[in-house]
Amino acid sequence: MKLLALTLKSMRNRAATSILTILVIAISVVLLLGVEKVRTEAKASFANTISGTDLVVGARSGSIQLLLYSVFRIGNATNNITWESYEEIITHPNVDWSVPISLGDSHEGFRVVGTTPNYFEHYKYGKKRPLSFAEGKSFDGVFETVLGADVARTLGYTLGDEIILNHGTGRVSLMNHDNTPFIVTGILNKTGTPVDRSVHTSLEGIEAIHIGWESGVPIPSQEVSAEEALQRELQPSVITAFLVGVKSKSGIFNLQRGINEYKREPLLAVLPGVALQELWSLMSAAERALLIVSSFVVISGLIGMLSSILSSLSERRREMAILRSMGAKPRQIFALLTWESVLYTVIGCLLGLCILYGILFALRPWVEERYGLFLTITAPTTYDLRLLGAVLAAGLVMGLLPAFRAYRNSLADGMTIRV
Amino acid sequence: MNTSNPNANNTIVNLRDVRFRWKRTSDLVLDIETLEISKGEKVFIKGPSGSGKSTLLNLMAGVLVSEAGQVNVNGSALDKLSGAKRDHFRANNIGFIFQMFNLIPYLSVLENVTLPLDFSANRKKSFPSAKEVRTDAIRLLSNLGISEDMLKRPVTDLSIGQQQRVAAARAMIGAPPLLIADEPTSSLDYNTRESFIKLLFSECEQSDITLVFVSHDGSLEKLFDRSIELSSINKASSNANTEVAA
Repeated sequence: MKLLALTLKSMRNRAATSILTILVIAISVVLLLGVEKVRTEAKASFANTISGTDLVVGARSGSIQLLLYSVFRIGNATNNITWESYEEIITHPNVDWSVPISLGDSHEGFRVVGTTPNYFEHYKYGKKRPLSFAEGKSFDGVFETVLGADVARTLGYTLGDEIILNHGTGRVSLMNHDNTPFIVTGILNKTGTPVDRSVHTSLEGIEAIHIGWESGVPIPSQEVSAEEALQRELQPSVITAFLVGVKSKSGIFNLQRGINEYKREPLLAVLPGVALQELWSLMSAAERALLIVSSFVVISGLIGMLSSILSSLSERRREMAILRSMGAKPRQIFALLTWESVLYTVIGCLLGLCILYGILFALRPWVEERYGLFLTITAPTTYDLRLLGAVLAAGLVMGLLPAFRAYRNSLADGMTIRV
Repeated sequence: MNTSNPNANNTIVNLRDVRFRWKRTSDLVLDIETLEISKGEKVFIKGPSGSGKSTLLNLMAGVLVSEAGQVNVNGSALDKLSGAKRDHFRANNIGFIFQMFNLIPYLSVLENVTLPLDFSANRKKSFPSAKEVRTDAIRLLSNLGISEDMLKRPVTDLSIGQQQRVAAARAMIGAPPLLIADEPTSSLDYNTRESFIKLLFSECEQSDITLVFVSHDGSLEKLFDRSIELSSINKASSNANTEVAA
């Protein structure tokens, strides 16, 4: 029987304490790696939301705010862009494509995005993946709509359904645009981005549902039916933001400066990647705080292990003496105790990994539904492995203390223990 | 390690002018001019608690080192060996039975008995395979009155008397040349004591093991080949004080 087997049997003999010790370490590992996972996933999910877009343009505010409301659909725009400005800017020779976005309405708590069919062609996410249709096709007419995957799934809509859009972005709205229903013509595939939670319609559709509304409330005498609305001039007068793709990457900054210095109204053009970086630098303090807190949890887990090993030492002195009488060397006694702490931390780390992946698999649908965060479940990253390595090293170092004590005891006691 | 000294061909333990004390400043615990034990002998060493019996055994087993003098056991000069070599020597040459709490609580009867073989390549050598180890463990145990159906039982299920017999089997597995017993019977009642000693004897004779047995209780000494009163050979005995554990 080797020392390792001896250690295992000894730990099994103290099963309750051993299991608790391992659990404490496992839970602290779950926390450490879980926090790390949430952090990187949130970051990746954010970074994956938009790609292939060179500039995001909106009314002048902060670059982070612009990114949040135009791409992430978080918060609201402070101001709009006039249609004339939009048309003028996109005549710039370096503009390859542009997609206007009009926000401000909602359907059952999902944001309504007024845009053009170009959106489905140019909006990219992840590694320049385009949007794709699960069913149907892009909207074409004024009262047609394309639903994000979550919208269709949550509300149980299928192609051909008629839906009513609300004014405002709250979940409950007392003011329904119920005179102008929209027909679902397409449902998008899941992307793991805010697109899944958006209702897309044409800019003209957005205009149409606001005919007869002033300052956000309907004026009864001026309400119109869908048929009447179609007769009107539906050219939008304002949009909320627009996305731009350039022909030449080297001209981006030139174009950006041109927009930022635009004379007719104050506008802001941001590079999505740069704005994302700014957003993350804001969060880095919080990230570090999280890491520190979870490190402390790990340390307290290891101290728990230390105290349980140390408290077992005095009752195990007799055992050590028996081993010594059979010719066990003090360094084998040392190894016996070191094995114990190594086993605790290794098993704790492995169990922690299992629990973490179990939680990830179990929570994935819920997190996706609730937060639109698509958890990619991958093998532990090198950073994760480095964290685990640090836990193991810390466990080993802590384990040296009781091992050294047992070593000293066994040198001093020999075989004569005064119990 | 095991090369026997031709000058001491029939002597297994040979102590000369051995002195021992716990600390430099404390009094001598042992001061023995000469102690010889022959191979195959069954020796009883008698002395009251605190007289240095356990210390003497620790010296013979190479756990403690004398301050002066020569300790020769089975041809090895223990006083000249390093700590690791003494551990090695002990693993190969000595079986040990304690007064009580002899067994590793988390191992089964069989695992306890075969444990010394993990620390001694020499003692393991006599068994070609794990099967022989098991067979011999069963033989020893049944000779000592432990039936085979107890093999897998946790040792904590056994009575004290049974535990001592398992400990004896463990000390004798692989036939170490020297068996040291430190008051192994003091936790047994009188009847069990005598039958335990007899089992021990027959096993020692069968495997050619020398037995050194210490006790404060002289009632068993008549069973042995030779009895030594520790105080008669230990010149430090008058100084023996109570701070020294037995």
